[in-house]
Amino acid sequence: MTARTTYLLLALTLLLSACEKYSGQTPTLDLLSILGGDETDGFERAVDIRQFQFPADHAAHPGFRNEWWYFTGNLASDDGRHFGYQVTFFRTSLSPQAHSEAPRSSWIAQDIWMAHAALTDIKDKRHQAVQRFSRTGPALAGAAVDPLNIWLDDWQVISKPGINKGNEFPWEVTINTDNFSLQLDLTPLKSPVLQGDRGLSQKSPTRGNASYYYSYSRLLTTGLVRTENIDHTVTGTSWFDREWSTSALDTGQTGWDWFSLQFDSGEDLMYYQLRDLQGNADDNSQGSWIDKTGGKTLIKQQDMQLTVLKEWHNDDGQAYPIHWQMDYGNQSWIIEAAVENQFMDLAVPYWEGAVEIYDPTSMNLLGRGYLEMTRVIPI
Amino acid sequence: MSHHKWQSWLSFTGIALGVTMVVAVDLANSSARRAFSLSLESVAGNVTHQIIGGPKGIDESIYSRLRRELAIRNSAPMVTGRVHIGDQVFRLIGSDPFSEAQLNRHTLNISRGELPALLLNPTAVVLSERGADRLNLSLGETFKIQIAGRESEVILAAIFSTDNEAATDGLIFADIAVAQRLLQRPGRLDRIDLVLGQGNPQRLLGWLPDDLKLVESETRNHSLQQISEAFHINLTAMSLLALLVATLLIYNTMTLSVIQRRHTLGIYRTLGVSRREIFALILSESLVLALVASTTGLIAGLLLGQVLVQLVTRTINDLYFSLHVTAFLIDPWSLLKGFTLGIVMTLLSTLLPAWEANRTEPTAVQQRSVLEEQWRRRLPLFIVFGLISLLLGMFLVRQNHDSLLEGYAALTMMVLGFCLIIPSLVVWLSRAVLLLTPQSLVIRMAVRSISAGISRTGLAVAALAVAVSVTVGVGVMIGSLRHTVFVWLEQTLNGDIYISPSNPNDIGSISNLKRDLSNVDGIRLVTSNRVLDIESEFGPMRLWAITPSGMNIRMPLKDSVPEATQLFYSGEGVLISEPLAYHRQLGSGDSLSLHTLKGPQQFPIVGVFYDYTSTQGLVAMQRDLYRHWWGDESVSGLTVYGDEGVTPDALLNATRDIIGNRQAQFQLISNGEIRQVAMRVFDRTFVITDVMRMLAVLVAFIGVLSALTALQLERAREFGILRATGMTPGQLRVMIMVQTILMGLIAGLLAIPLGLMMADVLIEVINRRAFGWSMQQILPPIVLVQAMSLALISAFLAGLYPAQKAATISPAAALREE
Repeated sequence: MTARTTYLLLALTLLLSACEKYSGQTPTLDLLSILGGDETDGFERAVDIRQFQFPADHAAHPGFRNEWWYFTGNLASDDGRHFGYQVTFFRTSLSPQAHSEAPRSSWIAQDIWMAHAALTDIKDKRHQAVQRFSRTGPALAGAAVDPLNIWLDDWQVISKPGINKGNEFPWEVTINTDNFSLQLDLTPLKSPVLQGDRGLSQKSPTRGNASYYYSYSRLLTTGLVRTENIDHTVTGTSWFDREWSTSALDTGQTGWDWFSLQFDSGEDLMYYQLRDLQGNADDNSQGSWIDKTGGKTLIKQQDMQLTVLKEWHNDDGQAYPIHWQMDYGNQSWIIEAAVENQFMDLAVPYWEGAVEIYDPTSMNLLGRGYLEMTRVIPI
Repeated sequence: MSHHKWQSWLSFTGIALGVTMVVAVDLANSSARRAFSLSLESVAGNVTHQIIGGPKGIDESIYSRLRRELAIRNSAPMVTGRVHIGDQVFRLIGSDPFSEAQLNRHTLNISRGELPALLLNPTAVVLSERGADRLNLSLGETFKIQIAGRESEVILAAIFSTDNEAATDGLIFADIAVAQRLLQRPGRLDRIDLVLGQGNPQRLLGWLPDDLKLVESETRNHSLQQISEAFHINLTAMSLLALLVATLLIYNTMTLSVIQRRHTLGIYRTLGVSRREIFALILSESLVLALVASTTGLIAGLLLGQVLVQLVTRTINDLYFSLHVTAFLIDPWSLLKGFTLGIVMTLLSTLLPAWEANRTEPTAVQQRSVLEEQWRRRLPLFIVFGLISLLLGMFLVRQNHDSLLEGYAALTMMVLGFCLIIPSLVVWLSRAVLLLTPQSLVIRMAVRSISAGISRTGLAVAALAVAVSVTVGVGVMIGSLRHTVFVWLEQTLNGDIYISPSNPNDIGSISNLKRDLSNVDGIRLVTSNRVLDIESEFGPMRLWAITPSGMNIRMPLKDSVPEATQLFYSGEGVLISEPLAYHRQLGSGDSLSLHTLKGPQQFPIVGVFYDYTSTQGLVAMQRDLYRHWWGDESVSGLTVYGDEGVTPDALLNATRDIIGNRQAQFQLISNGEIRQVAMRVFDRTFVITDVMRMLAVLVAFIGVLSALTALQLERAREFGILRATGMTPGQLRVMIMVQTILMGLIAGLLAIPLGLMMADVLIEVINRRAFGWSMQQILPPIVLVQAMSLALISAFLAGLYPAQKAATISPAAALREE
């Protein structure tokens, strides 16, 4: 997963001017100026291999410009219904240093937080997404450990047992929106995987255009999903991604397709395909194959072949592939969106949703996963 | 027929001026009310509730807990304060754009400037396009602002455009972090605005700490708006009074116009024109006049309204609360109201003369003496009705009601009653004059013709008397209030120097200064006080916490419990201001609930003091009592008392020396200066009342001019006869001048008792009901001189033209009609 959806400055612009309802214009996203190299002075860069430490690295890394905590998962209820969910906390720094003129206010908006929550009801073919924004202070949003606490208002992830220093699993994810609620306990079934080269995930050849990236690829998930005023007791598996960076994309990179797949046989697969101006796969695309015990194999761009079988178009006519054929080594799968329209029609628009994995010949269901697609219209 | 033209012009002016007054005042009032709601709207928006804190504001952690623990996301924090930019006052609004987006309220459409800069630059502020233009500032420019006497430099980081310029005029926006820094209030909020759904208020009430108060914004805004309502009613009443005077005059001119044409109308009748047709003719004539005059009045009202709205908003700012909006808004309803009133009043005042002309037989219509005879016969009836109306008005006014409108209704009845008696008084008075006058034929003729033409002279005198009495009544009222305030300031301001710190929270330097000052020779005592707005059971209220010193509570108490001063000093009770006592029906022995740090708390009232600084209400409390309930050590001001025999200048110099280089932190003002400032504000507040008074006089003057002129012009034939029978032009001129001046004199004399009666009602009833102030009545002689001069000068001017005209009349031409 690369530098995901941090057009936060732009979202902020939208918010401040509150012009969404007035201008009615779809903003043109200048992703490169945000995720590119312009405003990086003073921020730390993902350059060297670093030593990851847990649980300390679950907390925010304020020296870097962008950071996120990404939970996705597929859940099944007692009565046979299937749900996909996504809960994400994004942090972006407006400035490497906060101004410190006295008297100091705790509202100083050095960091801006955005959170997304989405629920896909596969049976009803329904997808709902909600966004939130906040600044950090005073204690409105943040990510900390000892005890573990990732929150924006009353949306939060905390350690359920909360013993010792309060970072232990299971973690409890609590989301309440007007239309749905999630109350989920997450327990990892595999150790965290360091993506890329020992956790340094290079996104483009320019030095520093990289992120630090680790994943919990399989977490046992139990809890409650409440939608349309009905509680569903659910179980399933989740995926937790952590990534922080200052700049990632280079000129010519215009978006990505990111897969997180969990096979019923116990293996997991992560792959992101960066796209160039023509929509072709960029050389820096990569991923990992995680075996049943958590052992990782790097997937390089030349090992992976992705073929689009069917596209879905949003209201603006933007195409998002929803049926894929994935060929990795000698294996081949059909990846199909569980619901066609899982478009996140938010201040930062993208397609993100639950997918199903099929055997291309028998069309047997082999597993489930999540797919994220971002498209940037070049200016 | 040239005098017809004259007369049409004068009635036209009378109607037009009446409509002008009503429209102008109505527009000014509606603009001020609209300005008020826009002021609120622009800072409150669609919120349903507000959380309001005590003297220290709200701890900002309350806000984060509100969002995290109670998940109340439709909430926005606000930090706000008054800011001076040059000589202009702005309101600084520090808000959190993220919360605002949730509340969907401040739709600032940034048209120029970089947005992130607003969050990152510690001095970044935002102005509207209009605000930036007004201050002549361009994007990126730095400029200085003053907050509580402290100067800070800020940068205009962005400019926003809005579809409602008026609502954001006078506002300067900043990110909440910037505003907290500029206002030196880190960690504190002034307000949390909420949009709460069903059930949420209850849940919140249970959760909220005791020192915070949850208020429904609609109720609160309403009670705020009510505060200045009395002032608007007063203005409207004055404009209606002007219209009343105008109506009297319109009636007068219409009657004359009918009488003058009695000859023509009689011929019409003999020619077979039906009564209905004549009635219709007269009415349609006056309708045309009413339409043209009301339209003119409307346009003039629009122009005058723009001037008045400035005066009205300034008074509201001085007296009630600060409005940051001063837009002139044209309310179509005001225009329609003024226009309709003009037409209806004109038609109504035409009805009676038209009906009268109609009723009479054709031959009788032609005879003026018939009309005069009818009038004279009716005079006793007028007296009866007049006395009934007068007494009823006097009875009503004594009723112990709180209604301002009722007070005005009673006053109107009294004035009307008096008016009805005036014609008889004119007859009697002219008879009395007749007894006094020397045996000059010309003068005796002049006096006699007043009572001979009582149908018109009576009305003209009544109109003039009412107009002049307004001057007397309002003049006495303002004079009395001014005198009362002056004496009150003398009694209340017994300190010699008042010092206000720019930062009331800087307790350390304030107590240092206090200590330094106490050690100076010639300074007897230094006390500190705290003035701030707090929440009470009746909404926001001003609280005045004073250190007991035996010096500062010397003000006379209007009403008190035994040992009130003792109880106050020992912190066992509070004193409340007279307006508060009046409006809330409170008195010594009652208690008042104030919102303290520990929640609502009852305080016994031990006395009521006179106060003219605020109509909103003021509570005085012993400082330790205040400290106990609000835990606030801040100081709003220090009062310095000098030793006996130390001159004010010496004391001022000594204090200045001690303040020395701390002058940026402390402003000082001497007793003399503060009194001057207070009286200046007082005078400024009553400019609008004075303007209204002058306008009423102007309407009356035009009307009287019209009535008297018409009266004399109408007698052309009579003058012709007089000339033919040997009266010289000089004698005729003297006769006419004597007659009009005498009418002016009678009007002036009658205006004084009427005016004093009006003043009494204004002071004892209207003002008490409107503001809750009691005042000492005085009679400034200048007011009486003004009234008499006004009456005489109007009469003199009104006589000039007819006298000249009559003197040059050709007897033959005038008699040709016979």
